[in-house]
Amino acid sequence: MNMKGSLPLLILHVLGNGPAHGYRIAALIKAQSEGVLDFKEGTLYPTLHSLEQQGMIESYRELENGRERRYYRLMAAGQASLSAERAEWEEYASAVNTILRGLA
Amino acid sequence: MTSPDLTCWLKTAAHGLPTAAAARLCAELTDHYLDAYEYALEEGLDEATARRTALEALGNARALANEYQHTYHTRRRYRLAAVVGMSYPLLYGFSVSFNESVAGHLAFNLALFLPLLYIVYGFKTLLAVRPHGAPLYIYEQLIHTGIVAVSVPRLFGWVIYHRPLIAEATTRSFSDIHSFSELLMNAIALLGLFLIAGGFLLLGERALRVRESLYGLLKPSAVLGLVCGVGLGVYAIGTLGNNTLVRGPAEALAVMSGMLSVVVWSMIFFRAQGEIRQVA
Repeated sequence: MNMKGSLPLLILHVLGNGPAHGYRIAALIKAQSEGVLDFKEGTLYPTLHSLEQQGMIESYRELENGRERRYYRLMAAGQASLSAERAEWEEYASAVNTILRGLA
Repeated sequence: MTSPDLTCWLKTAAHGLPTAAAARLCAELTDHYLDAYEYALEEGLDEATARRTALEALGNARALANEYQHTYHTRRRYRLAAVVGMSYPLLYGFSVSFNESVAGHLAFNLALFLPLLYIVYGFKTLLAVRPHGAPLYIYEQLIHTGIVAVSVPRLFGWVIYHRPLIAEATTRSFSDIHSFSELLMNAIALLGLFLIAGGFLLLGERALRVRESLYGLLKPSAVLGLVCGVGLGVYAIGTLGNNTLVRGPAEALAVMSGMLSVVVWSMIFFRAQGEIRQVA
């Protein structure tokens, strides 16, 4: 399913549960959507870097199994954006569902 | 363990990106690939299939290269910025040395408009909506707006009077101004100088907060950004009060630190280039 546009929201949501590196973020999005939200994982990184430029998240390096990895964590601005975007998304989805149910 | 296929994929995907961005992207994508590869092996796939599955999960390299180009400044723009950065003080120095000759006047006018040409060239990037609405950094906005504010009044002066007619651009001062339009042009250009100075100060301050070491050149780049900002600011204040004792040294400080900044950032560029070769 095409998820263009909702990827930043999903990334912020995943990072709301704790820091993670790129692969884990992709894996969690796929797992939590039970495979419905499938996407090319290479597209994740420009989005992560953009969110970092905006101050929504920050990155740091940490060793994992002897390998240095770049982890991302949510910042205060990201938390605020997540709350606002989540409310907006729920309102949008609710409106679309109402229309679809009415036309069925 | 990386494969030749991954190396080729990374080269295609990161083609044309600024070296530092490409190096970071390649390192993260390599880690991602290795995780996916290990997971595929745990799932019971053989090595060749695991490699192919991990690579396919990343996506089409050419399509991603297009997406990356929209997110990051391209290497071409980066090189152009370095050329403009080098040419400006060189042309300026040449014009001062040969002030009375035609070549000196030509060099002076070219030096005045070079930054504006750079802005016009980069207009597409400036106006481009970056993915997910990522805004320009404040220092970028200040420097770009400042360059336009400094250059456009000069352009008007040049078109109307066949010389820049801007107080800070020649030996003239605000006391020589004899019309409201000239005062307005000078005021805009002066405001532009302050904006550029503020932009350089923010750039230096931001460099200090960067987590990466900028390939061992973090402090020189930050200090030069700050010195250039202070130099430009003092020069602008000196111009405002027509204080040649302040104006001359401040101008020299700003130009010298600007030139040295270009040298330092070129070194960062080449060091990053070396790192990306290692990653590949």
